[in-house]
Amino acid sequence: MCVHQDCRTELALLVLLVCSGCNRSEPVTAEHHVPAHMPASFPAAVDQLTALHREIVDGRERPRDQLDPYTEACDVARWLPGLAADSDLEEQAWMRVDDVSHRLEELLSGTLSRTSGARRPAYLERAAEIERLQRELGQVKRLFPTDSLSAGESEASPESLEPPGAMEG
Amino acid sequence: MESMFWGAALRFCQAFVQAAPTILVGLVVAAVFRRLLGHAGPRRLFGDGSWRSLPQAWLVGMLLPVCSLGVIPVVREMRRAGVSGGAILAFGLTAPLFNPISVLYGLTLADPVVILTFSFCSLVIVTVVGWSWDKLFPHTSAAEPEPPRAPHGLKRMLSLAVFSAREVVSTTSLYIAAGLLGGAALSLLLPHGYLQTAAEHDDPWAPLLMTAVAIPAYATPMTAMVQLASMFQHGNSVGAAFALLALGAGANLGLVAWMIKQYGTRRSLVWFGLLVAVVLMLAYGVDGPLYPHGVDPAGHTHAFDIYCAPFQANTPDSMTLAWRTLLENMAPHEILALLAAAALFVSGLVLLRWDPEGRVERWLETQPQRKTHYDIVLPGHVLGGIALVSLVALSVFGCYVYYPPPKDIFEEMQIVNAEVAVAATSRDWDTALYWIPIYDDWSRKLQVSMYLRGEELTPYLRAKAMVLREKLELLEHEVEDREVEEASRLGVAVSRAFSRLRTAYQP
Repeated sequence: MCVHQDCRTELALLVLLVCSGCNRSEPVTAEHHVPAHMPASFPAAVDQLTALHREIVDGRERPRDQLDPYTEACDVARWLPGLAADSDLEEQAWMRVDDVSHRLEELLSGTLSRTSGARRPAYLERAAEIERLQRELGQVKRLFPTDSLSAGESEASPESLEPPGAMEG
Repeated sequence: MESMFWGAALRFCQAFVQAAPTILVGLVVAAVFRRLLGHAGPRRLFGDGSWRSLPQAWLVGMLLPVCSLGVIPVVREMRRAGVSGGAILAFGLTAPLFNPISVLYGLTLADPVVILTFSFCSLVIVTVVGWSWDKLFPHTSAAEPEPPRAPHGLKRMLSLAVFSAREVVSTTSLYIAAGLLGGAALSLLLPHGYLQTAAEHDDPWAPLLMTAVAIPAYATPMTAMVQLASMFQHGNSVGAAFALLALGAGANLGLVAWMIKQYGTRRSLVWFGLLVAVVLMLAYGVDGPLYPHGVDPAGHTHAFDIYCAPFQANTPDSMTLAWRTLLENMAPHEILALLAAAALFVSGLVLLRWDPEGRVERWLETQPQRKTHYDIVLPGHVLGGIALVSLVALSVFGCYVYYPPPKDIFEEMQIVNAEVAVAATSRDWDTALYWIPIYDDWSRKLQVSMYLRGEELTPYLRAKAMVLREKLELLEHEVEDREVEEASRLGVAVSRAFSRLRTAYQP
């Protein structure tokens, strides 16, 4: 149902409707749109990005009615700071996620701007840097306790947090 | 039918209650212009027909805390003082858009550059339409004879109150009522929640549609800013947000009616058409560039619920519900303003009934026989200047009261958090729906409070506040849908998000 089109029609007749006192009686309750490919937590997002990377590198094709993996990866990369903020991750680690997210989004947007046939070669050109960024995300992911990872919750235990230097390499 | 009527009555009264403080400010400003500054004062304040006239009108409008209804007594007085039409319209249009409190609130948007851009766009609007007015319709100023000055002292102060009282029972109130009726009429037209999908980012018609809604609608500067914040949070159309601010907060039917009465239908329509065209051009211009990064469109917004019917059709006992809703949402400063407005109204009626010829004013204007030797007499323009500067200073002081220190805000949030969490888990839907917007509001006040007090608001802290607001938003939907399990789960998630927010802000 395209509600706003109805609205436009109705508003175009604003004066007439005021005069007639007409009112539509059916209520409209909009649902909050949560994309189907939105991961439940930061660790899940990191796993999803890794899986998408493998899918693209392996050249697997998706049916046309499904969201293309480049768009999906770009969305997930953009959601990373929000998902990481929904955990006990401390500021320095979060800043690292934020930086990686911006760079990943930049790389993936560059790929998305190509025609569908040219996306995979463009992605492969950037694959080395994308893998490096994913390794960084993996290091942050390790700060989350393993039991919460399996439960799919976004919980980084403060005790498990290490200083940023300890996560390098 | 009954729910429609009481819904419209509620919208009318809600708008009046919200507008009462700024209408009072408008009356004070108009009284200062008339009784303290005289006709020369406002003309000087608004550039006296020089090139500075429009930017000065914009700047004064930005600083004074009035809304589009409170501006009506001011523009009427400016007209009496002989200020040029372009400057009057520039002031009338921009004064209601922003005030210091609402601009600060705008800093909680995803990108504070938005609010600076919107302010700049408002300057463009007043410059283009004000300049065009003066070019298309020159010599439209028409000063009335200046009233004699009241002597200094108590009489001069009393003359301010007498002017305000008479203004309240004059045609000013009719114009204000016309402005309020616009909102009531919209609620008759638009069913409950009808505009929730009216401003989607990918809808090219959204700015146009919002323009149609915003012209009859009335919003205080703060309401408009809260709506803007909600629209940005939901990833709605930025162009629609700008149209809503420029025309929803900036114009109303009362102001249009006053304009037609003063300048004639043809001139007013030409000017208004130009205004709408400029607003639309800017709205479409900013729509793409200012769209917030990293925000996923929620597919709807609650920002415009206040322009629709408050109740669903056939809601039982809508009169009681309307009354309860009105009382529950009244803020203490609004109650004080209503009492003051009522006192002025009664005084005005008394003056209208027993002194229609203005004997009181003539008595107030009689000069004393004996001159005092030791009093220091301050000229009216000095007092007027002090009064206007005080209003601006009061407005800045109001910012610190409205946005208390973070420590106090966390104490409030702790209480609200408990209310929301308990209500969500115990299926107390009405309580949850009452507290959720208040909770959201406190989270924004926290951010502004930090700005005001020079504390650093890092991206990490912003992200924590965003997460809390997102959870609150989801919870609100589940509560509206009476989803027991999801509401309970999100109640816990909100509490956890609050705990993380507090840890991040107060490590």
